Amino acid sequence: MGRKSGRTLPEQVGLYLFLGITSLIMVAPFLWVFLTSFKRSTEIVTETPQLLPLVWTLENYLKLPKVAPFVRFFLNSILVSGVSTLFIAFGSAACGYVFAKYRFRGRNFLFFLVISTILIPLQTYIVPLYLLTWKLGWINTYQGLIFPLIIMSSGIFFLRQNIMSIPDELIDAARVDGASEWRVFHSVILPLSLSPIAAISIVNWVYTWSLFIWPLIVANSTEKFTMELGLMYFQREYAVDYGGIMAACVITLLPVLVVFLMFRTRIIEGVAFTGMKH
Amino acid sequence: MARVVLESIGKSFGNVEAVKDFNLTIEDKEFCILVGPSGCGKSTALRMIAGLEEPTKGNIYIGDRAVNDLPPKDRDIAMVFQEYALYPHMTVYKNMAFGLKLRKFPKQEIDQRVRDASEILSIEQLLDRKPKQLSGGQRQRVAVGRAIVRKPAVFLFDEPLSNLDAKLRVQMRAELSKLHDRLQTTIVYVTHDQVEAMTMGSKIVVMKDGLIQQVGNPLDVYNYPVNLFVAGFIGSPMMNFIPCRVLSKDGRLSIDAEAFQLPIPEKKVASYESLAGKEAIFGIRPNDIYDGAHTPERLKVSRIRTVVDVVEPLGSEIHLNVTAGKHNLTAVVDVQAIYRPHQEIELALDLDKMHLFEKDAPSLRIKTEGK
Repeated sequence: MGRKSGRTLPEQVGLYLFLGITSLIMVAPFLWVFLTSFKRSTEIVTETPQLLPLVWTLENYLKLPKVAPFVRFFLNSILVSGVSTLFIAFGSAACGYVFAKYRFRGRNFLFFLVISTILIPLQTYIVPLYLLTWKLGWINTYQGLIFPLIIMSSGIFFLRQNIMSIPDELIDAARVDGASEWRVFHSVILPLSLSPIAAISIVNWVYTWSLFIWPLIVANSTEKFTMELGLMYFQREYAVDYGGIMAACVITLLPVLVVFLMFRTRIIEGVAFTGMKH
Repeated sequence: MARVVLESIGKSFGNVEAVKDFNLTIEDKEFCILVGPSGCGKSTALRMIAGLEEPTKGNIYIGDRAVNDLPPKDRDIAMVFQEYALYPHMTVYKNMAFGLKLRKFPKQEIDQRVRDASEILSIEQLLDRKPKQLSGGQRQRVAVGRAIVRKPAVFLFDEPLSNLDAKLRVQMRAELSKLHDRLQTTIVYVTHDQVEAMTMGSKIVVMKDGLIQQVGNPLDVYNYPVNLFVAGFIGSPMMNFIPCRVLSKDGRLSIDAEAFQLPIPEKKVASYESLAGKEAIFGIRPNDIYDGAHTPERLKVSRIRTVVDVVEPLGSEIHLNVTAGKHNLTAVVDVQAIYRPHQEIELALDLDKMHLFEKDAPSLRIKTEGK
């Protein structure tokens, strides 16, 4: 921003045109979902689709609670994503700190073990995970929904890399100042890791919010459904209620959007974070 | 305020012995400087006093307490780090108050101490700023302020001035000396800069390869270096070293450096008798060499002929790099004449200040203090 790019005017115009078009391609589906959620069902399925609704209506939103307990689904999703993200934000920072700054026997092997789990997708271990959950008696419970989501090995890796760039002298200074190990973590490491923590938090929030397969097999009753599962209510065998789906999608997307907008500076900093200058 | 005693301290990192058999007593209120080249173990020794490294062997006492098993926070020390180590997310005030807050001091006392320290260091106007808004010198003051608010028994400084520019370093050097006078607290200060060591310390400890080479007050170490390393490390410009052979004739000693022969003054004969007939290294500081044409009468016995290589006029004095036969020497002379490269001049050596070192002698290991 505000710096000279050294490009000629046609280059500049071409670049902005390219960026504008790609942005539009990215945003178009969301825009379509948003606008469709305000259309009447007769307007949605038509031979000549219109971008803007002819008549703006809230009927798709108003009927949501009648079709299924969407408020409950929404709160369930908030609970699952919220608790998971809290665990991951805190846990990744704590594990990242230990791997970055503590020296102990087997540290590198343990770290290798942790990051190697990044390569294993959920689908490959979903059956043993289900059996474990069943043995723990956690099928159709919140703890069953949440517990596989409280550790993020890529988050530990990301935080470790960031915490490694915090100078050791800062930690030494805190120890000499009288800080306990917990206090060093809480008062020095955590505040200096806010940007990477925000970045992994949003990634995890989006991941857990849109998770479908695990809630589908663990949640057996409507009371434990998340928003993603709730979307199934609009897909029946012979008919699909597109208006309802679009309205539910908008509501599903909102918290992610809000979280992103709230923390966007931190998230961008976190992703661009490569080293700390003191 | 406290005495610090290090008793047969050793520290190894794997197979590398960073500190070996380190014995040192730092008296109460003493300004003790650990000085030596990079990697000599001085910072490791300091970190062991702080409790940031655990000694592999030996005992450390601060005051009357053995502190080997105490964490840094319970050792009643404060430390100033090379990179300042200010918490970047806290204001200057909070940086200084952090240690007191952790020790649960009342708010009013914290405020009083921070304001007193900031007044001593002239940083009152910076209290609301974050470290990144400060210059190097200001950061250094804040780091010192953070240490003095705690009123610890011992201050530890780990190369605190090495990141400052030359002018600021001179200024901070004087300020730290003044601060020591004012606080009257034991200070252990690590530096690789021998000028800092000479100007600030009441005791200096010269280290090399994890071993103490010499301990003493700065002038003693300067005037009576115990080995070649100390002689070369302390003093700027560096002492001249010339390989020679020590000759003995009729109870008199002299040195033969091929290009010149010099008699060893009578009062030094007893010290160097053991070197008679052996290869040795003759040492003389550049400041003890004079222009032969402007020299007091008593020095005339030690004249040598040289050829000027390089002339470095510094305003108040001139550094001359000269050649005598195959030997290179540096002399610091007064501005009394004009010198030119290739000019032949006679230099007079003050042999009362000469040194002789055994050739290829291993580094001397000094276990007790003083000379």
